[in-house]
Amino acid sequence: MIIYKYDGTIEGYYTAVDTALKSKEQYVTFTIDTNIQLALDTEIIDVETNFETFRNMDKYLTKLIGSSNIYEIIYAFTSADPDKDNIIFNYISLAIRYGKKVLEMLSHPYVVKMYGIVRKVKGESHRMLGFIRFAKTADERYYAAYSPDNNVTSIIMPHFVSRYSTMQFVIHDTKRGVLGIYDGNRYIVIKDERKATVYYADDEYEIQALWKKFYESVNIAERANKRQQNGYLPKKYRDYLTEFN
Amino acid sequence: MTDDIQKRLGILADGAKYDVSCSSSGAKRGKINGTTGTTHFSGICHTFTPDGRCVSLLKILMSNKCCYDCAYCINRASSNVERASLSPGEIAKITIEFYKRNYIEGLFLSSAIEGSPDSTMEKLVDTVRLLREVYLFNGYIHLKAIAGASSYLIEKASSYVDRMSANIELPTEQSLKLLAPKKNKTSILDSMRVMRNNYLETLENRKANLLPAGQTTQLIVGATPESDSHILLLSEGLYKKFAMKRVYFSAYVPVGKSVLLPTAPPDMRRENRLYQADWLLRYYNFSAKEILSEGNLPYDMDPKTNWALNNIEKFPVDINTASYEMLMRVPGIGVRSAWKIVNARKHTLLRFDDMVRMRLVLKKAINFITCNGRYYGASLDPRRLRNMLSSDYAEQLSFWSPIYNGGTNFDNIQV
Repeated sequence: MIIYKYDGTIEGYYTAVDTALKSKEQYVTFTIDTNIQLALDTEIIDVETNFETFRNMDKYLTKLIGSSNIYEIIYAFTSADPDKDNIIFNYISLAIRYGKKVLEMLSHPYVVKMYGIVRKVKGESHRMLGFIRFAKTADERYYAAYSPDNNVTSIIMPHFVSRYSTMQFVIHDTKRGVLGIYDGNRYIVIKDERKATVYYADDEYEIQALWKKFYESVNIAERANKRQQNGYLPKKYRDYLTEFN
Repeated sequence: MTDDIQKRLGILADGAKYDVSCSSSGAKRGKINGTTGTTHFSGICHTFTPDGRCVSLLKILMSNKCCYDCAYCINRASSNVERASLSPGEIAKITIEFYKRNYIEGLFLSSAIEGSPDSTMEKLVDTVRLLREVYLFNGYIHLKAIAGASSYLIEKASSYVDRMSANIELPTEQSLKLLAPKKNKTSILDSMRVMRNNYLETLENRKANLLPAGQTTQLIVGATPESDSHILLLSEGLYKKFAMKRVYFSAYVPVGKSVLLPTAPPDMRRENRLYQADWLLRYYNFSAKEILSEGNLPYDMDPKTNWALNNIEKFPVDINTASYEMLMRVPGIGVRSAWKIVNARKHTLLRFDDMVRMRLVLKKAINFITCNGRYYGASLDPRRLRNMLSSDYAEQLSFWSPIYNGGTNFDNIQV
């Protein structure tokens, strides 16, 4: 058994996958953990991220499964599943063997696992398109804090960038210390563990109060259905929603 | 903005909440430089209220000061509710402030008839023009076509908004005459025709950009005696004749005492079953007659299971050989499962454990299928199966919950 240790980025992961594939080793696994428990027969290999290798791997995978399907891998990589690196590796191995056919092999255990995590990421990132809440800051920028299960900031940024192309805004994953920042022109996603201090614009509380009033008023009390509400809007997301605070 | 606006917004949101549509789906519009907003094809839910419904749009009335006296309506002239209105400027400002904070996908604006249908419609058009041309708002707008408004105003509105709806309100002309004497069927259908033509034109030529998300309508269920079979036949006709995107059903909520109206609301399951049947019409290639030839849908069973039990000679079908169309008719197999099955079986003969691994929900389906010729279900005796699958017998069976929003569930295939 060989463990490939990489830096946690998609570039690093592709480099590690490339190394693993070239080694022809049958039992491999991936980690970003710095202090893992070693079993007796394991060997640990530190993989240095290589952007050239990343680009080649990206091209290769795109050729294998097509450019419109490559995002499944990107989605899976943002998953919070602790086994995601291995799930993706198994899927890639299958794609190498079967090419585009892999997209239809929906009963294969590797494919079932892969689509399982992809589905969760897709589901959560779609939800976040709705559950992000911006507040206007004193300097006329917009700030949103949230805390998704999966690392979806880079997935949802393009949606908000085209929607709010005339605004400057920050989407802050407070759990991971990941920030998506848009300056009205270009955007980046960076890691920064510091806490943010935000000063609201003068009318911010008024607008929030207006929104809360609207939220209260659209409910039909005679038709209470908390179970359905909890299913569509799990409680874990409510800390960041204006209408619940 | 003052407390006064807050109060008026409360009244006007409360007055609009019985219009069940809140969908923001059907239009896909990307960024336009210098404007604020985009639209998402499958719609986005921004929050959910304690009644379990999706909130996607700022759904409000411009005014609830109505000069009509429709018996079923909370805002009718003789109703004892607090009255309020918002100006076009106020509505535009609230919309854009909410939108920028990602509270909403856009605006769903309707109104009571204040003055005349045309003067009301004109004010609605003013509001959406203000939003598009002054606030440069490029998000979603759903505008109500006021009953009785002139065609040229409907035409004008079409050029600003994504979707419009004219509510048919009641399933027959007699019922409409009885409960909403000032509304007239012909003028509602005229509006629908204008909207259909605009939508179809845009389908052919995207640059036309008139109602890219088409039109919807709503009717009230349980206020008048029409049966489910009548309602389904009517819905089917509306889909075909007017290229409707959705027909919404709204279970009647008693809003006042009238000798013309029932005192109790209909069983909520009725609305639920109608929505399930509506789904069969739109996505599963069923005809209204097939689903139900007469009377009402059973409460204790979804319409597809009911159909299968009445047509048990068509079952069981084999998972490895049945056509896609037939798989879609198996109770418990939906669009997603059918798609999974036909893809997976191209590469391997599906065995029982493959179905389990693919997470197909087999609870109901198992009784109507075979896997490589082998039957794993309980019985093909329709009477026994009916008992077994009845929700009265097995409360734990879950079915579709009513979907109020085309965009609620991202697993759904969208039109």
